[in-house]
This record gives sequence, C-alpha cells and structure tokens, in this order.
Amino acid sequence: MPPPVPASSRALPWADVAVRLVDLAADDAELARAEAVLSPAELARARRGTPAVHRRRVLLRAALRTALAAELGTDPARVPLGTTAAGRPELPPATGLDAGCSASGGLGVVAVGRGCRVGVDVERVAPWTADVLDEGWLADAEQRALTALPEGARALAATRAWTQKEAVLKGRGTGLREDPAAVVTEIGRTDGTVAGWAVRDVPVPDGWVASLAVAPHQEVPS
Amino acid sequence: MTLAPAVPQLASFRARCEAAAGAALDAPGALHAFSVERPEEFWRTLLDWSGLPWSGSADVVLTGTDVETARFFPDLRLNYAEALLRPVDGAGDDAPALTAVHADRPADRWTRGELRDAVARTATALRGQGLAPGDRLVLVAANTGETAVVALAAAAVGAAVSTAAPDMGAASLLGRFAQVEPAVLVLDRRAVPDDVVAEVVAGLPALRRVLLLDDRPLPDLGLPAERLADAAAGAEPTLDWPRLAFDTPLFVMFSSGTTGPPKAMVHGAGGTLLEHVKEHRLHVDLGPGDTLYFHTTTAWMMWNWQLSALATGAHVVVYDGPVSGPGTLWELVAEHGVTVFGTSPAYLQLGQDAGHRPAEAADLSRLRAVLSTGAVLHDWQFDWVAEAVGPVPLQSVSGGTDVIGCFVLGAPDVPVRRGRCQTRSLGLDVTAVDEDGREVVGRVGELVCRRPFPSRPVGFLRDPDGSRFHDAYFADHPGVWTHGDLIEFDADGSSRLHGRSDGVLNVDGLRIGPSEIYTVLRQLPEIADAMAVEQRDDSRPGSSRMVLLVVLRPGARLDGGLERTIRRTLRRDASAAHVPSLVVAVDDLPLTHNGKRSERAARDAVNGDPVANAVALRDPGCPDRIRAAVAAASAAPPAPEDDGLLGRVSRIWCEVLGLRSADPDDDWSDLGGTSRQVLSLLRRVRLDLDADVPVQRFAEDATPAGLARAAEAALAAAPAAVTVLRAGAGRPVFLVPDAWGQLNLYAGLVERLATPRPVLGLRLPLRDGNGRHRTIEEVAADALVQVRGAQPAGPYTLLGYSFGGLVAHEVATRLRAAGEDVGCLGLLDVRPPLAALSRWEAARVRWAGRWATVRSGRVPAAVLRRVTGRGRPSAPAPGPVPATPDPELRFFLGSQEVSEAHRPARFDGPVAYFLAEGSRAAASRTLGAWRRVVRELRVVEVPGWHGDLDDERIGMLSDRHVATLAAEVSAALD
Repeated sequence: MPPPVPASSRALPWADVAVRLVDLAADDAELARAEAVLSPAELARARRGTPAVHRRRVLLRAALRTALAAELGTDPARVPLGTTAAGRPELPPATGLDAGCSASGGLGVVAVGRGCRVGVDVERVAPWTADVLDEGWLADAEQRALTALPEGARALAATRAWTQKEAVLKGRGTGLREDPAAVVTEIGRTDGTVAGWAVRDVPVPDGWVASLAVAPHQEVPS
Repeated sequence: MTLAPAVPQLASFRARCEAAAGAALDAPGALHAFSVERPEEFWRTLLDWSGLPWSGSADVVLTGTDVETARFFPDLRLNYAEALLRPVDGAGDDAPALTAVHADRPADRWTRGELRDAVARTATALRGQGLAPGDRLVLVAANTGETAVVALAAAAVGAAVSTAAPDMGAASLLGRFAQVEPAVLVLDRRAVPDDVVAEVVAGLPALRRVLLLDDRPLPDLGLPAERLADAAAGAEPTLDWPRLAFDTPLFVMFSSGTTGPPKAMVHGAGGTLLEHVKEHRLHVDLGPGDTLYFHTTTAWMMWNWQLSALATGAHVVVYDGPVSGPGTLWELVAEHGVTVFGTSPAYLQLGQDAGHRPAEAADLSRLRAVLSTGAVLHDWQFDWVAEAVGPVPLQSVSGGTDVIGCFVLGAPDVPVRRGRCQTRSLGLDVTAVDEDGREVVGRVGELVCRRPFPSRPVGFLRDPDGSRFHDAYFADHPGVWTHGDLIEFDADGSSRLHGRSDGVLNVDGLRIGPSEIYTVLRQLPEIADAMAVEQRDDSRPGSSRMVLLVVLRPGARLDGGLERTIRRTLRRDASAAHVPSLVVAVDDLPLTHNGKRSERAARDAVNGDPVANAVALRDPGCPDRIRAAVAAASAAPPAPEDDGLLGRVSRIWCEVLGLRSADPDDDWSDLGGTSRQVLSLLRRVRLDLDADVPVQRFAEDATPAGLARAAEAALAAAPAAVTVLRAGAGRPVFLVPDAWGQLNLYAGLVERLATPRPVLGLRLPLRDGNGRHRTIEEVAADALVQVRGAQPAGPYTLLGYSFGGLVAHEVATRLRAAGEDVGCLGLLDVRPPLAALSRWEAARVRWAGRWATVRSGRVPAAVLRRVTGRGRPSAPAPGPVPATPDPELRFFLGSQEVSEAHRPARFDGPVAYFLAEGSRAAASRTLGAWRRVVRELRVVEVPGWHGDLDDERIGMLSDRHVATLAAEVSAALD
C-alpha cells in the first residue's frame, strides 16, 4: 500500500509548536496506509478499541508520526515515538520534541512542540445544561463566572474551560489522575496563563473547541 | 524524448483484430465483444502483436470454457524478465528504463542496457546462492531500484517472488511468508529492524539463505548470510534465462477474505505478463517515450503492475520516500517528466483539501493521464483534477490482487465520465449479475468474469486439492469467477464500484472477515449456526453496525447471560471489532436452493430492504422472520441484567456511552468514552448509586467492573454520619434529610432557629448497593445509630420535612421503644403515607387527584410537572430504560414509593405538626391518619405551600416564609 498521507493538514504557527488538524473520516485505503506506519504495540492498542475507536487511534497516531517525521526528517514508521505509563506520547529527550494529540467526533488534533512541553485537547461543543455545574470539575470561581454569562454563551465557555484544563493536565502527563477542578481557568478567555501554562485556542471548525497548552521544557509547572 | 504517439496503439491492434475477425470492430464495445466472444483469436492476436519473446507452440490458446480449470497457452514457454528487458523498438539500450527516486539522496538511474546487465549479474549471483527454477524468494524492501533488480533476477532464474514492505512487523511478515516457504530471503536492514529480521528468519524453517541489500556488518542468523552486492560484484552477467511454462509461478500475492487465513495466491508468469502488457499498451497506451510513476509500496499489487511496464519500453520511476505534503508527488511527476501518473483518491483529496494547484506549482506539461485506484474516486475529484491539474483524463481503475490486474479501467478512445471507470478490460468478460447469475445493466450486481482469462491465479499455496481456491471464487457461480465486489455497469460499458459483496463487513470503515466470528462461535455449544451482517445505522448516515444472527440449538435461549458470553468470547478470541452491536436469535438462516448461505438476503432483511433474491431461497419466508426478529430485538430493552452493583453501573455506563450492553472488562476509552464523559458518568453514579467515585480512582481501572469496585468502596466509606449544620451548646437538634438524602433545603431554617443548641444533620444513604431504595424502616435504623452516636441519652429533638418527617417519626418510635425520652418530634408538612390511610381517606386522596409530597428545590419544573401531571404516581420507578426518565425523577419516585408503602408505628409522645397553609385542604382529609398513631398532634399552621410544586407556589421552607416557620419551630423546641 502507498505510504500514509495526512488526510488534511494545516500548520498553525505558534511559538515552537506545530499543530495539525486530522480528518478522522478517512476511507479504507487511507486507514490501511495509516496502519502501515504504526508499531505493533500501537496497532495492538488500536485493535482493542471498537471500530470507531480503532479508526481514530490509527489515524491520530499516524498523523502524529507523520508530523514528527517531518520534524525529524525520517519515515513516519521510524519515529521513535513511545508512550508513558499514563498514556502520554513520549519522545527521546535527544530529539528535543514533545507531542500531544486529541480527538472528538470526526476531528483530531496533533501538536508537536520543539523545545517545549505541549498539551492539546479538542472537544465538540456540548449543549449547556446546569448538570455541568454538578459534575465537579469546575472550580467555584469558574462556576460563578459561567453562570454570570448569558445562557447562550455558556456551552462554548464551559467546553473551552474543559479543553484548557485537559490541555494542561495532558501537558503534565497526568490527565484525569489529577483533579481538573484544581486547574482553574479564566472563563471566557481564549488565551492566557492557566496553572503556569501558556494556553490558547487552536482554530478548529465550528462546533468544536480546541486548546493548546505550552510550557518550556525545563520548567514544567506542576 | 519522444512524446507518446498521437495514434494510440489500440488502433493498430484493432486493425489486427479486424483482420482476424473479418469484420469492422470500431463500433463502441465491438472490440470488447470480439475479445470475449472469440478469446482464442483475441489472445493469440495479442501475443503476436505484442512482440513478446516466446518459444514452443501457441497453437493451443485455451483449453476450455470453465474459468476455474481452463488454461492458456499450455505449450508456450517464456521468461518474464526477458520479456521486460528485451530491446524494444523505440527503446534501445540507451533509453531510460528505471529511475529510483529517494527523498534524501539523488536518484539512481538505469538505462535499459544497464538494467538488463544488473539483472543478469544478480541472476548469476542468485544462482550461485542456489536459487533454482521452482524456488520461491521473499523480498522485504522498500520500493527502490535494487528491489526491482532482485525481483527481475529471481524471475530470470525461474523462481517465484513474493514482496513485502519493510515496515510490516514480524507477525504480519510471518503470517504471509510462512505459507510461502521461501528458499531465499532478501531484505534491507536499513528499513527492517534487527529483531524483526531475527524473528522472521527464525520463523521460516525452509529458508536456505539470507541476502542483504544494505552494507552493514553481517548478522549471525544461524544461516548463510551475504551481501547481495558482494555476491553480484564478481558475477558474470548470464543471459541464458530459461523460458518456462506459461503457468510457471512468478508472483505470490496475498489477500484476506471471508474464509480462513490470508490466501497466498500464485500468479503465473505468462498470465501476468499478457494481462499487464494488454492493460499497459491498449488501455493506458504506454510505450517508448512514456514515463510511468505509480505511487505504491512493494506490498501492493500495483508494484507488480508498474514493474511490468518495462515490457512496453516505457521508463518506470519508483520512489521510496514519504509523502510529506500535497505537492510531493506532483513535484516528482514534474521533475522526472512523468507522462502517466498513478495515485489514490486519498492523495488527490489531500491536494484538494489543501487548496493545492499542482499545475501552477509544478511543470506538468508532459503529464497525459492520471490513474487512480484503491478506493472510490468521487465525482468532485474529477472536477478538481480538471481544474487544478489540467485537461488530462483521470482514469479510475479497479481490479484486484486476485487477478493482478484490472477488470475496469481507462481507454484512449472512450471519453471519461466523472465518477465512473471508462471501460471493461479487453478479453475479460466482466459483468454484473443478480443472484440468479443473470446479467444486470444500470443497477448494482455481483462482479463476475464469465469466461477464462490468463491472469487468473494458478492456485493457492497450501491448498493441495484446490478446494480453498474453488471456495474463494467459484462457489457461487460454478465455472464463473465471482470476485466479491459489487459493481454497476451502464449500457456504455462504464462502471462504478459499490464495495464488497461477500460477507466481508465494513463496520465504521473497518473490514471484518466474518469467518473469524464463526470460528470463535463454534466453541459455544448453544449456537448451531450464525451469520454476521452489516446494518445501516440510520442515526448516523453513512455508517453501519454489525448484527449477529444466531440459530440456537434446541433448548438454548438467548438471554442476557448467553449474549454476554457471545460478546465476551468474541472480544477475547477475535477482537473488539468483531463484537456485534446487536445479537438476534433466528429460526434459520437464508439458504439458496442449493444450500448456500445468502448473506445478501440476510442483509436485505436486516436493513428492511426488499429481498432481491427471495425466490432463489429455499424458504422465501425466512427473510421476513429475520426482519421481524431484528425489529423486535432492536425495540426491546437490553437483556435484563442482574441487578447487582455491577449491573447498575453497567447500565449507567451504557446510557452515557449510548451502548446497548457492556462487558465488565470493557475499557472506557476502547469503547470511545472521552475524558469529558467520565465526569458525566461519575455524576450519574453519584446520583443513582449514592456513590461518590473520585475521577482519579476511576482512571485507575476504567472498566464497568473497576467502577463497580470503586463505587462499592465509596459506598462503604460514605460518611454515614451526622453533619454539624450549626455549632452550639447542649442537646442537639437533629434534622433528617429529604427525599434526595439532602439537607440543603433546611439552610434557611438552620440559620434562623432561635436556640443556642447545636443543629446536626443526618447523612443517610437512601439506596443500597444494588440501587434499591431502602425502606423507611431501614433508613430509620441507620438514623437511629447516628442519633444515638451523637447523643447517647435523651431527651431527643428530631425534625423532618415530608419524607424526612416519616423517618424522624420512625426514629422517635424506636427511641421510645428503647426507653428513651423524645422531647420534641417536629413534622414539617408530612403527609401520611397511603398505606396508613383508611379506605375512605385513600379514596378522597385519589379523588383529589394529586399527591402533594416532598419537594426540594432541585427538581426542574418540567420534571415536577411530569410527577404531578400523572396523579398518584403508583407506578414503580421505570427500570432500565435508557436516558429517560431523568435520573433525578427516578430517584424521587423511588423515595416516594417507599414512603407510600410505609406504615407509621404508634408513637406515644407529643408531635408538633407544621402544616403548610397550602396543604390545608388535603390535610383535612388525611391528618386523621397521624392522629391515629400519635398520642397528641399539635398542628401549627404556617404560611406557604408544601413546596413550590408549581413554580408560582412558594414553599414553607422558601426564603419568603422560612422565618415564620423558624419562629414556630423554635417555639416548639423542648
């Protein structure tokens, strides 16, 4: 099969981070090509998922490998990409690279940082319900700020708060092993500093929100 | 360089055929009709016209009419490599033959003379390594010039070649090559990791030698290993390449199907060569002066296809680098003067999506045709190529590894219709048929090839009696090749592919061979037979799900247990992708008159489509029964689960993820659950099970079983203890929680109680670990323990609103029964339970038509209207109905149900009853029930309603009225 091609890619310049969007609605041939660049462990993990999850994992991982390959000047299949015990992508320190990825619905995002730690999260904007306040991941100040917003603005703001928290937690490599309520965002802000990380929106199609968190390699705020 | 001739080669070939036919063949379709109706004349004419070198006799062209057994040119002998590398008119020894492009270094180039010489030396070297006719050589390497040289050298010697891409991994490589039993393995360690090399070598016991394309130090593999370059360096070029039989194995290819392990199919030298030369020269019009680049790896049949283009005298370009962007391949096309470029719909789409305009970015002036294969080429991609690439035909071609060529492809004399393949392959009697084998035009049918063709595989490896070969292509229509694709032909011969027709399922874009499912299910004694079919998912257009039809053995029943066993077994022994979305028990599977299973009839039935071939079925009523069974199973709630904690957790799990069932060991993210949904899941667990599972704890074991364990631990650790609502001194005032187990509604009261005494709230789980609402007695037993723990001796003061009042009353009776003094029992508008009412009272309540009951501020108005709108909600809380009703409503109804069933015991102390003004009318009919069980009921009327059942009615505990209530309660304290 021919080598993988990214389904759709768009580089978004920000500092030393390259972000690409990944279209997860690929056809069979594309999926097969993406599979061809994954390691056996990656394939095995992908196969554990339901068909849709399998597909997402294959395409996302292949996109991550392709993005890293462009940085390293090698084949996607040769990228020394590993995974931490917590499931975070990991590269040998000598590469000076860090990577992250996320997917929601048919949209994936991969981020590659040069000389910095990155975390990225994309989420489909979910309709607002008051239940969100009861889910325990919003700090009191965030809850107050959210409820002060007009009803129509809350869905986007809440989803963005989530992606910012997740981006930071993924940057740290802990994910939900840390309490998301402890990472306090500024509701309504698309960029700024969250828990010591520089955070900003990644442009994505309507209906999604994506956030990118970046910290210099040497000083990862915890 | 010469440009491709203006008159296509097809014209000169047609003239030869017309001479043979003695008739004009220039009408549309006439040449194809001749090619399939008079195959002997067609193929013999092609052989002669092509100028391919051969010996022996071509007198016998074809030995029969049965596609499975007919052989072509049984007396003819040839050599594939010789045919490709011979001097060709217009492409002499100095003409370019092969250019290998690399991403990181300059291209390698061979003229036809140089390539023949390199192949000749390598052939000598391979012979020196013991490679002989009939041997098989496996080649694991990227798409480079050396790879082509090795393959051609092996073919020159008379050995068969099987190629694979270097990034395939040891397991996939062995899955293919163990069947091949190669004598020689050639590989490139620049692309294949050492551990993979060692594993592959160890897994191929028949291997005699390993040859390396790289120049790294030789490994110790326990076998003779040598650098091929060293072996070839001193070798004399030998050109005495044996011409062997037409069916001599040339390539071993692989294809997975519906039955068994990957098929290792053997393609013969003559069939491959003749088919490729026909396609290249007649359909693509390749010849000297042309440069072909077809983007492929060595693991795909297009690699073999493009290699054969050397036979036309065309210049072949190969590339082993990555596609790093939408411009990569177009730049290659421009730089190397490619005239015919082959690619995939995905690459074209990449360019379109990126807004790339190849014709503006690169010089494509030599390009005269673009070929695309591997997937459906969409209509709009034709438009994009026309706009962004230029006025070159975009030819959608389709065939298969099984025929190492194309069934439908382009033609120089036929216009391109967007979205369609232009024409049938000459000599291939390919058409679409319905279930009865009748040709259909203008609608989708099964792709068959009705008459023999030379590139039919010679056979399969490890298939001594040919039964696997037969089953793969000839089981449905004897003597006719059934390819397994769905296709629709138009009257003009153009066509469009419509996916696989065989049992291969395509679920959310993943191809799943059902044979594995059947193999796994064979171990379940309850299942007599099964059929997996794809069902359109109408909720997600374009996607589909798997429905598993099972025929059970007598006595077996498809209950929740068996369904879970089926899923678990498939997940364990196959993969998550093999687990069906729906399992349906049916009486029988659709069989045709000759006893063959008709997946197609089942699929039509499952999708609710008319069954196209109902008359072909032994039992025409079978699809209707399947349809009914599937409809019933789809409508039915999921099989009843055990109601243990795991069952309840699984139910919430499924609701949040939108699944019908879950296995205890399913992984959250494997099923598509996101981090964000974790929070919704845990909120539901908190609401439904009273179990507060920390998100970190969930992340440690994100399965239903793990969540159930975490919930159990949370329940065990739940602070079933009193909470200090207000500090103070002296005997506490105890507040009993409301129907949600909450104390929030007392906040205003707590603040305003005029007493220095501490105010304590009880924390009472209202449901047990199985999600069942505990009775008032059970809740009260907990409450009693907490009360006595906080205050060892009386007199006690207890207050409760509504549901909480029932509990408080029960606690008070128990305290009295234990000989303790109850100084004050305050009931805040506690309507007596139905069970405590006399028949007359109960009738009056029903007549009143409303059951004014507990209320906290947490239930949305719409939910409350549902409650109040249905009168006395005597129906038990609905069970496992997904998503609705609201879990809060469910909880509320559960509390209500146990309240209703409670019979207050006799309490011999005084009771202060705070009657909400709004409840007066109802109370006048029911307060007798309280008076019957208490010694003295002092009724204090307070402003407000029971609770704001309707939004405009303000409750007795609301900010507006709570001060009055607090004053009255304070006054009543002992």
